[in-house]
Amino acid sequence: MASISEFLTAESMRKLESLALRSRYVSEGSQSGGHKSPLKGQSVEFADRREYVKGDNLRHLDWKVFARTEKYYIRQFEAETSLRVHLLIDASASMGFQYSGRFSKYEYAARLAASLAYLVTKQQDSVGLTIYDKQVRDRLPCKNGARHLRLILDRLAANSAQDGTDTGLALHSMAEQLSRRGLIIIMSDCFDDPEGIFSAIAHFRKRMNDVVLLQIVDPVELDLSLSSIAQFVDMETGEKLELDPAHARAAYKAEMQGFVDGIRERCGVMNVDYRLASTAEAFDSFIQQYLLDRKKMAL
Amino acid sequence: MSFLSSTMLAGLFAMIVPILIHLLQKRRVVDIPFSTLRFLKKVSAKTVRSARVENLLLLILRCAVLGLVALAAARPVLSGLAAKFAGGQVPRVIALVIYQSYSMSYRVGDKNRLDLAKEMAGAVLDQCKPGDSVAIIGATDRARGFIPEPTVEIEVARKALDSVQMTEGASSFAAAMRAAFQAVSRRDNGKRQIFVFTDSQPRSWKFEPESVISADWKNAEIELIVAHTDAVQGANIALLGVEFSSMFVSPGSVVRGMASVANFSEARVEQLLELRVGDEVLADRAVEAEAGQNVSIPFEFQVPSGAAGPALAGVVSLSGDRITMDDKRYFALSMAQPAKVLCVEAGDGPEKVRPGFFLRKAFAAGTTGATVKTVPPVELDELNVDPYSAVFVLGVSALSDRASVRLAKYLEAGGTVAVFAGDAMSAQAWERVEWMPAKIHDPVEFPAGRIQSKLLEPQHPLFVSWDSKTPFPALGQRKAFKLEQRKGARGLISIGDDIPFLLLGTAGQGRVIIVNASADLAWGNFPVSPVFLPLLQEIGRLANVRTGSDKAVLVGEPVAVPRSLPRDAPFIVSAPSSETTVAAIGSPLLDQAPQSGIYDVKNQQNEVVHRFAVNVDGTEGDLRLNDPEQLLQRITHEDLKGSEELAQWLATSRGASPLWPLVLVLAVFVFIIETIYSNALALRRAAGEDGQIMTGRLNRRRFGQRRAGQSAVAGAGQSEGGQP
Repeated sequence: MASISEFLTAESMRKLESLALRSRYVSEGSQSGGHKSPLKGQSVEFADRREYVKGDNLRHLDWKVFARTEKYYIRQFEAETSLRVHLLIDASASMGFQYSGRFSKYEYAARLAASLAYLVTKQQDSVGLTIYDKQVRDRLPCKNGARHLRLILDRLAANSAQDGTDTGLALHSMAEQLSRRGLIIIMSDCFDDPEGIFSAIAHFRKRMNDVVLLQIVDPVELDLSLSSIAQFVDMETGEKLELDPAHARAAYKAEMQGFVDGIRERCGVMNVDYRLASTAEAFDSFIQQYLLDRKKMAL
Repeated sequence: MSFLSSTMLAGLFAMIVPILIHLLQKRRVVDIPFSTLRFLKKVSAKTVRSARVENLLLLILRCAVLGLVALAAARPVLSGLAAKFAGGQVPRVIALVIYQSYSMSYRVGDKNRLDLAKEMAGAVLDQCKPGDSVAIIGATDRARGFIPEPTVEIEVARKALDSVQMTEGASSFAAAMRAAFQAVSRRDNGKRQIFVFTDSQPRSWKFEPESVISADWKNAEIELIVAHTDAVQGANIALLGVEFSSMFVSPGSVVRGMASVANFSEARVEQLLELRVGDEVLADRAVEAEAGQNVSIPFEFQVPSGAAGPALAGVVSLSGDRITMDDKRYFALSMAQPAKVLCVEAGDGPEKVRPGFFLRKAFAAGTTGATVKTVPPVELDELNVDPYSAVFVLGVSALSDRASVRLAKYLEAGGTVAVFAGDAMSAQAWERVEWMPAKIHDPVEFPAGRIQSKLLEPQHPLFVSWDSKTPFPALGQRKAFKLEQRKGARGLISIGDDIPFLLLGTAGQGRVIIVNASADLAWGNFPVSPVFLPLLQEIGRLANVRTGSDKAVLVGEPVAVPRSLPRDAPFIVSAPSSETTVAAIGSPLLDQAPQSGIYDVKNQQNEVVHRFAVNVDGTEGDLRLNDPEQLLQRITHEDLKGSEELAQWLATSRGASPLWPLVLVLAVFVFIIETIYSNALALRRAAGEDGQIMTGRLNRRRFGQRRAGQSAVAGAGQSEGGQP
């Protein structure tokens, strides 16, 4: 069984100690917790009033309103529930690309997932894992607890990048299976049909999930910083293309910039939290910075 | 267009290098697994074509740079129409003077200097245009006209040039230049040029400029081009000459000699000197000479007992170096022959009372074997005296004019005349004889008894047999002429109060000896004194040396019939190469000695009657280069060294435009273009490395809106929306 130390160092865990992962929207957890729930509950935070119906607990009758209006209103309070975090990892062959970083994109995504799972488990929320390529390859439902965390780490370690991609299909199928709202964190290089990807994300959003898209790329994929003429072999299709990177670099970067901007733009439109992660950056630093940004965003 | 250094065109192969690099670079493609080709495909269509064009353009530029540099190195010149516009196509009258002296046999690399000179002359012919005419003069001991009159047929000139061969002669610039001047002066039209192809060896340039550069030369506006075959300082050792103590040898006799060796090189040399007769080495000596030093090497050898024939012929040689011709000297030492004496005496009567009685006895004594012919003075008018080694005139009152002239010619050719005094001699008559070394005045009488005599020049060859420790004896002389010495006369023996007893004078090549005593006992006892016989025999021997000796003959010089041979018969001269020529009566044996070696002279009966040696002029072996500045001061000329300088000069002299500076400028220009272009490409590619795609940025829309509000407050703009 894989241990957390295979994915996170003590230093990484220390960085995560003071951080928390919160959803930007209400969550529908199965247990009470520190996150907002769509349901009215027993918390001390006032939420709303509604007219009294028979059977309501008179403890919540708002006497002040009755005094002013001679109508019965019941005071309602916010319900607090646990967060359900779904980690969706693209494990297609293209995620196995590794050139300038220490990790392949899949390995980098696995470490991000491990960090988030550790964090979520630590804050008593539940976390689930879905690994997909053309379809959902492996899935663990949302649960909490250390045992579950170890299961997640096992699955992360057991899987590797292979096969083709159909992000849309896989995510649609995943969206169908989610019965409750939660936080969806997709980790992919997004080198797939953008329409399929955003169709699936729209599916998640329609079900009121908070969606985070972490696009993981190798620096070489961003700037094509190769010196000599090379024959590029597509890792998913095996297709070949001979090219002088020095000549194509500027045009390639423009293309890539357009692609990234397009994803970013559409994420903005769909209120999806989007981040571009380079494998050259330390994953724990990335997570730390991301969570801090997210905390500021929530203020 | 033509090229001055066409071999440099091989540099065009350097253009292959960038092509090979280009092709190798194309082949060296590695496979890189890449996440997706989606974006690469989009850009490849745009970039591949432009990259091909850029690479091809770079390749062309680089090839062009190398090609142009190689082209410039080949030094192209523009001829034809451009040259015509430049006025370079005026017909020329050209004389090619090619040194043929043996010093041209010095090898520079794999060719000797004559080959280099012929190649350079060939370059001049190559460059000739229709209308040009060419004469070819060989410069050796004399000028040799291979084509004495300029011809317009260049191919004929080329064949003549091929026929120019090395000679053993020494070169003479003056003679060749005069011949070249005559050649180019034969044509009126065109520009006159004389090319001298020389090894710059100093001997041939020792002449008076005025003897060559006459007023006619200056008026003819002749352009002189001195083309040195190379600039190499040659090293050589030469045997300048060999002198022997005696020109006559006899079997078993010991001969001493001295060889003169010159080291013309810049380093010390060690050689072995050998004297050979046939295959036998008779003497050898080590030779050591410092740089630039002349050394004399003494040697001696014993004449083989079996030596026979008219002369002992052999060769003195050094071990040898790059020029072999000047490393040996041939010699032919005449075998001792009995003297032939002509005795001219007046009077008749019994032998014992005749004036020549004691003289004939003296020559008959011992083993000299001299033959004496006696004639009266009147016969001297018609007698050919040339075959005689000496003519003794004994107490003759006067010589007829014919006899005097005959003897004058005899003396001029090197003969010896000894005049004995006597009462019959007329002082007035002998005073008119110009070749006499003294005027004769009335005789003086000595007191009775022996008169003290004195040897004035004991070292003279006449006294070699006289023991120097023995005092010259007093003579019982009673009379002697008072003699008034003429210029050049030397008293060898005096008697009494410094009255010359034996007086020596020269006339032409010959010598005249006045013996101030009668040949008989009329004036004293001299004929019976102990000095008479040795003195007379020495005179005969000395006269024989004189008449039998030959001065050293050099290649190219004429060889006269020696006095020892009769003049009334033709001779056959056999050269070392076994070629024979016939010397007609009255003609020299050879007009010009063609080669070095031993020559045999045969009579009609095919008997070898004479043998002589011909040698090369050793001074020609001095290969130290002339100082061009000094040469220029003496003669205005164009000084060119080597074939490349000549080619350049030829190109420019014809008005051909040198293209290579233009090509070089073009090469530099293309190089600059290539540099700018490749740098621009590099910059453009480097520009693609800027503008990194920012990672980790937040959602543009959300943060873009927020930051718009913040920037309005903070006044700080952000580059890209959402990037903190």
